[in-house]
Amino acid sequence: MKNILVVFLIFVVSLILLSYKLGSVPNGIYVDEATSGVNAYSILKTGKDEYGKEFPAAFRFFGSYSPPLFVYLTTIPVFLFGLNEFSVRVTSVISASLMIFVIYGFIKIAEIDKKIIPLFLLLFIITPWNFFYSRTGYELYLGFFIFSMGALFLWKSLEKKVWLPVSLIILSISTYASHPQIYCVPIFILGFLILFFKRIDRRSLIIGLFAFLIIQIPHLMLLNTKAFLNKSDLFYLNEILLASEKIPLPQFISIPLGFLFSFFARIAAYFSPNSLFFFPDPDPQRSMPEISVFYNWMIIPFAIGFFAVFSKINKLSKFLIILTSSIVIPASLTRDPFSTQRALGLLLPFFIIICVGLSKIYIKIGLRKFLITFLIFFGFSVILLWRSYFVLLPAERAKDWNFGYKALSEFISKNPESKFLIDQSRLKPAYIEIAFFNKTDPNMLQEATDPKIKEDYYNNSEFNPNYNFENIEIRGLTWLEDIYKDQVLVGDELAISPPQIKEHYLTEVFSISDPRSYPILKAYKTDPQKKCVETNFKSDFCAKPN
Amino acid sequence: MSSPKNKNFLLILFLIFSNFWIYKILDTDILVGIFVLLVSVVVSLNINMKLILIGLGILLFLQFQTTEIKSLTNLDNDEQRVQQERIRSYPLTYIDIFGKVVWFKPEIWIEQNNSVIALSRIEENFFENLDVNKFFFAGFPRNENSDFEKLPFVFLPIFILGFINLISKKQYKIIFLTFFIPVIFMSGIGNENKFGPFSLFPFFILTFLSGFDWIFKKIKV
Repeated sequence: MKNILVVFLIFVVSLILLSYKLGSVPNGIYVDEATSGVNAYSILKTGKDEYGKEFPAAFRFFGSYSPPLFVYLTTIPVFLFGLNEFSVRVTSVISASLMIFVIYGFIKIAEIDKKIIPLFLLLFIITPWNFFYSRTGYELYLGFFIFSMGALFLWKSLEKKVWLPVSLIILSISTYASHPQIYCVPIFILGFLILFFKRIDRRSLIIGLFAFLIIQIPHLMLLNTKAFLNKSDLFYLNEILLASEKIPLPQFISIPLGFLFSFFARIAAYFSPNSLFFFPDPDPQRSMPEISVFYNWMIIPFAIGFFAVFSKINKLSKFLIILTSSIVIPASLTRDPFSTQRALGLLLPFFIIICVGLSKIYIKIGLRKFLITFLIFFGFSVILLWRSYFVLLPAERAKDWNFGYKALSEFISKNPESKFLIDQSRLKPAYIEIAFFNKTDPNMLQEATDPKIKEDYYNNSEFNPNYNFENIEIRGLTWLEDIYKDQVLVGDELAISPPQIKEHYLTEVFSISDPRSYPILKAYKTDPQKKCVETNFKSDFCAKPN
Repeated sequence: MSSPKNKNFLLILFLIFSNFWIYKILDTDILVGIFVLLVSVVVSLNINMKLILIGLGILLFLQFQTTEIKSLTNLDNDEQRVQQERIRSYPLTYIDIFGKVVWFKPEIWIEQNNSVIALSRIEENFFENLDVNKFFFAGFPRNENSDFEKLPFVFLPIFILGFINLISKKQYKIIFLTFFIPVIFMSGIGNENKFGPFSLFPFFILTFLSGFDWIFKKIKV
């Protein structure tokens, strides 16, 4: 009872810590967050998504398809708090805080002394991989949480058969939460059945698998569409073919060799201390500056824990091998060298290994020394996290998180009489940012999309970022035409050059810079009259004077 | 009939010459190459601890001689720009104790602190030498210009088996000497070396040998 109370207190601490400055750090809305928010808002107001599709089984996001659970759950905070940064991110915060109970369950399995468990739970909250993704407003953390909960119940089913159907139901639901789970759940269940088949109650298994399949009906209905397994373009076929050309052997040997090289190189990268404890994710939107997915000092307990867990083959080591493999194998079939998003599931087995390592240190040095050492490293970690997440990230990653659209949206809504043309060329889909911040009427947004999309929703994956709604047009600039219309041209720092400003008589109306003062978005008002007069009405777009 | 020691010797020679790394070293500097080769044989055959220590000492000296050593605290122009930007990013940090304001200057303590800068560089060098991909996959998939082919990737499972075998046999002393000492040493001097971290070469040969040893024993059983 006392333990549960402590865990509950840590759950509350997690909720508070993870909610701190949730709406303002990261200081922008990434397109994946905006699209989740806009679709949740659209479902709430109209029962349809941004394309006008009624309650889709997979959401069409920028020509790709995402599992729907996160958007449907996000309708609740959007209903309660309105469409804003906090609302789209709070679902992940709640998932991450509930994750404390799952971690507690796993740490208990690893037979760690109860006295030090609360310390490990607190450490989990501030672990960079956890902290970062628990504050993102898209589906990843929710999927990770549901999957982890399913994995815990699957483990519990080895002792109590009733948990087997429960775990299979939860794992089946997790495939509707985020993409990685669609791939890793079948591998995980299959691996579990192979290794623990003798210990599994057959009746519970049949009931569980039946429930699993029933829940999969919406997925089965999408089986023949592009919405199912739509991430196949992430596979590195060209890279394999290119590598095989360099191997002076017949193709039937060189191609498998090329594949093995690429595949195992990625697997190695997911286990490399360099990736786990030093290098951040190469994608700047998916990482914090100067910090990796775990703190660098964690390499010591990780190494100790790794040898402690895998030096003898037992139930726990087998379970962790299946868990890790089910996450690493699908992630290693995609192009990225180390995708912290696709491999987020690794946080669970790796954190358990770190806890086992810490526990070994505790046994060796005793409670007092352990407590002092732990608190020193914990404090050091909090400072590192504060520096990377709350100081450096808002400054250095503002552009990656689409900072500036809030101010642009405000400017647009304050000037309803002006027409705005946003240059889409180098920007991430701008329409969704504007729709998010301006809370664009979902009906209006649905009307602005191609009606054909709705007709063949799950197969029409071609994405067109050009939009025209309210007083906003979003597309690439056409210099021959656009400067002869009375409008405001908006683009990134490269869209409009100083000679073009001079040549076309443009006037700067506003400029948005990131916190380091680097320009992000700039807007210029055209002067078609002056341009026509100065060029002697040469252009066909000039209205000739009578 | 050849003795087990002879068999081991042949296997060691096979392991030494079945990777790209040794040819690159021999091709560029034959003296360094010969030393790497000799020390690898001495370590793998576990001939004599004194000889091992002398050999490893010479390798570390050669590693030092051939490395382009960079200051741990000097910042180039771009790094200075980043440092200044970061300093400006910090909020004003203070605590108010009954009306008395105590100011903290984390931007100075963290960003301008030479010890922190040096520590982060040592850390960078340290983790670079723990990157399995640098050794078995020529740095792929995060390739850098300095990366080159070192060990064949098909040897990675042998390496893992060998390392586990060494640990389970409690060969901590030799692991410490051939792995930790060079890694710690290179963390201080950096990794700007045209031959790569070659002082770790004997460790790899030793681990491969241990891996094969484990496999042969399993086959016999």
